[in-house]
Amino acid sequence: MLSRTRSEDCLSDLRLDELSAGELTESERTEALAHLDGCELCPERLAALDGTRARIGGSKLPPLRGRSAPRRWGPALGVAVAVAAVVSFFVVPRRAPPPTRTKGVSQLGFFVTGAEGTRIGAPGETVHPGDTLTFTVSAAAPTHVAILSRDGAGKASVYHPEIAVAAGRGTLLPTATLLDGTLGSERIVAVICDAAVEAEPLRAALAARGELPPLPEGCHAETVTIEKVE
Amino acid sequence: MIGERDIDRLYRELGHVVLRRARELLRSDTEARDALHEIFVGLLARPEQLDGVVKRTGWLYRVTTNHCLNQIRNRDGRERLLRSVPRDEETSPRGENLATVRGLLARLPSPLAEVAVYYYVDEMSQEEIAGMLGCSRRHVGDLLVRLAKWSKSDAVAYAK
Repeated sequence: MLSRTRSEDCLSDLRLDELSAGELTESERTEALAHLDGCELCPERLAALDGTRARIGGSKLPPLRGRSAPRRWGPALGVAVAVAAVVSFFVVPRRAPPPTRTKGVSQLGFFVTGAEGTRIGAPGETVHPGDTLTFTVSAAAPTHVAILSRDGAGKASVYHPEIAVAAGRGTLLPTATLLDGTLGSERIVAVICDAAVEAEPLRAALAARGELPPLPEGCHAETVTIEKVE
Repeated sequence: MIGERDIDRLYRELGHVVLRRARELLRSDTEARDALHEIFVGLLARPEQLDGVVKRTGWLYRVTTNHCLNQIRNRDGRERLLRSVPRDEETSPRGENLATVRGLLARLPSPLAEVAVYYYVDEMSQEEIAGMLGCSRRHVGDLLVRLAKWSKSDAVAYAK
């Protein structure tokens, strides 16, 4: 059953954090301190929060920079991740040429989450069944993106349905893709357009002919190949 | 204009708030550290997100909550990657509350999940939650009623 340890008249964790951070107005601060004087629970909670701050805060926090890749990933809610953008623009491909780009200034990037954690993907990346791919897009202007793939068996899939993406670097797309058991080279194709585009006809053409149909005006494609092994 | 130094200072001063809450919601120190990193690297990339934000603690509360809820919702099929924080925290009343709320979060629709976190984890008042969500206190009250009904029906469905 859902319950609270303190009443609504007490100071929330937010209010206590604001008090400690010096963010309260004079009257808010006076009110908070008066409450602390007369309450049994809130001073205890404030002490607990202060203790946590002493244990994990300030210089005890992990360094903000110098971290090579996130170990976990999930969709960011409107928060672009700069490290993905920096690496996807400047990383040296380990095994293969950079993603092919027919025109435009967008750039596709991706992360691979596997048994050993999450790493930044590169063209020619070795992946395994059960790994998860999360894609990023860098675009100079608002754009629409759909991500397709054609695997080693010739099967084409929509890895990410068409979505509108704001201008920015390394914007995470919200849906991750779980890789299946089909081994071999797999081509991931990002179709990037000025306007919304239907992904299914593109997928069908990729399945039938192994390539995209001629794209509408305002669209271009970027391709990256991954190698799925056991 | 907010610059990199401001974000660095914010990280040192309030990073612990993000890390503490992410650990409570995600029950994984690794995922919590990733959340902390992603949120602040995102701020370094787009510091303009803080333009006009007077109370940055509240802003960080909201961003952390949304980030963690997304992580929780995406956990299906990735549970092998989770590493737990010590379980002794669940023996306290607060720990038990946290465990109850966490058990619901993956299934709760938005905005009930956010209200559950703010009301039962952060123990905010309805007035504070209204400020966080940008709605009326009355609407928060309605959401809490919906949350209570939902958790009751979910408990029955889950038990079956």
